[in-house]
Amino acid sequence: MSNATRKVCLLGDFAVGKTSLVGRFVRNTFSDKYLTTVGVKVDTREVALPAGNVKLVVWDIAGRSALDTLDKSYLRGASGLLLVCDGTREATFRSALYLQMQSKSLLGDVPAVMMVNKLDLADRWEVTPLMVNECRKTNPVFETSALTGDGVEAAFAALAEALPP
Amino acid sequence: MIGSMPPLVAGYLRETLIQAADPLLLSFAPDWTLTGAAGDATRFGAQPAQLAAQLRDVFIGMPVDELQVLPYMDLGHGRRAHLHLLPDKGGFHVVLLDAEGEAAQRQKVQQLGNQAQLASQEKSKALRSLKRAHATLEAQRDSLEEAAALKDALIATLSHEFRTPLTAIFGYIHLLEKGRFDEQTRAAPLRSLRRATTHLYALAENLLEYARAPQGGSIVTPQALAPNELVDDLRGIFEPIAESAGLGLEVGVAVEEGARFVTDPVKLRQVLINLVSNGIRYTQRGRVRVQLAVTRHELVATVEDTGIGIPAEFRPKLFKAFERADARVRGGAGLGLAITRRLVDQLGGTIAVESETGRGTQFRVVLPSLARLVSAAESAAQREAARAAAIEAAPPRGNGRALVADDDPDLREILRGLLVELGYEVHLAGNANDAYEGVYAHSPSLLVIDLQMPGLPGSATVFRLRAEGYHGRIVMLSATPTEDAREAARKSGADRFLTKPIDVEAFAAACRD
Repeated sequence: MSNATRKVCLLGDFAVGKTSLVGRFVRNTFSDKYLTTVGVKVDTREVALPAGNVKLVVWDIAGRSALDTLDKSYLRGASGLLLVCDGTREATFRSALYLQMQSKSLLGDVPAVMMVNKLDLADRWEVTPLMVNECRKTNPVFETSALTGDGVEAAFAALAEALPP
Repeated sequence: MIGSMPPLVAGYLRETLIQAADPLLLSFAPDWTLTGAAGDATRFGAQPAQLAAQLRDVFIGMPVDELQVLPYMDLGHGRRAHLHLLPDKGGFHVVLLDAEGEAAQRQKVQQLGNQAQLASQEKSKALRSLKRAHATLEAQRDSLEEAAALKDALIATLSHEFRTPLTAIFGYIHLLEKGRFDEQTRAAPLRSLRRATTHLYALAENLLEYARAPQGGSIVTPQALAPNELVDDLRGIFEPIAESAGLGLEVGVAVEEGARFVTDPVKLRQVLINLVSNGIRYTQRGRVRVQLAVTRHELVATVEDTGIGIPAEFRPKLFKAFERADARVRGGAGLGLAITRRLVDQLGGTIAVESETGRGTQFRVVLPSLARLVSAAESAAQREAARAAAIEAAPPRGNGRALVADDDPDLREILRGLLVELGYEVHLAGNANDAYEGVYAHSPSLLVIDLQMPGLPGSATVFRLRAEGYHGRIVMLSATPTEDAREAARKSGADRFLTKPIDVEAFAAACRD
């Protein structure tokens, strides 16, 4: 039984794996075929927390490196953000942080979690431990792999816990 | 605009456009109770009640007393829609307009654009990597080509260079055995024998030096030089040869009082033998003069002849192997000056040449004393020995706990055994995730982890631990001895990278150093 319903949005550059992360989190599936998202895909999943269940309405917003007016209309009403970047593309790490900064004008300081995705390709990562360490000072950071599922559940749960009651 | 149309036209257009859009209208009370529906909900893959519940979630956090437009919404039922929320007296309406065709078209364009951008980024990365590989391959190819060319030249030259003096040696030995010379007449053949053997000796020395890697060369063994002995040696070798060639040979030395000059005497001797041999070979008339000036800091050797000189156009190639200024002059493998330059470089010195065609050539070699190197080498050796002893005797690092993560059970056991010998209490993990958990469970001060494991790579665990502030020592192992693997280890945060099979001493040092 849900105690609360909360809207959370995934923000990140294109092809960082947002849709795959949602696929892993909601349906526990993964496809390695890249299919770009147009507009928004909305999914829901309940997360059990010590304080009670919360139903997350997950908005998987089409990837881009900066927010436009359309994206801002999608963000309205969001209680939290999942910032997603691709560890093998350093530029997407910066994009994710930039998107968070842009979203503040609309949402204020909502809870956010950084997901550095594609941990299964850690051998090819351009994002460094130092960058993650630095980022951790402002956001919780999770190294994730939509392919293996590593870190995915933990990242969503951390955001769910951080959401205002 | 529609207001300026005749009512008939406006009405017709409204009807036509609404039919084409085929909207689904859902009407709600302010508390999201569904109050009415018009249109075909099944087109959007669900019943009105199901959609109504879903829309409530979609519009969560958004005011329902304002117009809201959400284009290209995928609600998971197979058809995308543009959603319009319109406030009305006593409630609001949500209109769903089919966006599937439009979205599919947009998706095609977006997909192509994104894939092109990804391909371009991958291309740039691949190009950078290719450039690096290309540069390495070019260098290797150049060096292989040079080696192949040198090998051919060497064999061609050597067959002549060895056979000629050997013919003379065999010939004179035969004549001496036959008793063809008496006390008075044997001086000339003995001089010839000396010349031939000296030539072979120099050739052999140069070949041995040449066979060593050009970068590393042979090891320099610094010792105190005995200048007078060196000069005597040169006289002993070359006086008979110069005499038989009808040339004068002057060998002189000036030593600063009390000077102790340190160099590698064997290499210096080889340098001088090469230069004097060349001088005699390329001088038909006149003399060859050798002068050494030795102080405690420096040795200057000049070898000067009155020979044919070196044409200006040849000087740039002077110190390259298998190059000879005058092919008509017989003798010499074309290695002497190349080896001389290498030896002088090894001794930390310089070599310069001045020459005038038809009048002669002067080589000037300046060497620094290697006295400091001797003391530095001695202390470095002492330090290295002390370090090795310290590693051997050192207790395990940190808290003495180690975690070994490798998917190969045999290797895990071997590593456990090695670490137990080094004094560690060892915990084991068979994959990257267990290693990550293991570090938090046991807090080891040493993590030994394989790079390639089923599932996540070892570098993923190392990255996560480092990003979370783990300060223990991390030794990464890999069966792939590539620069990429080493780089992956370094970038993820490993302290050391070792390739399999493991060198036990290197492993011990990596764990304890």
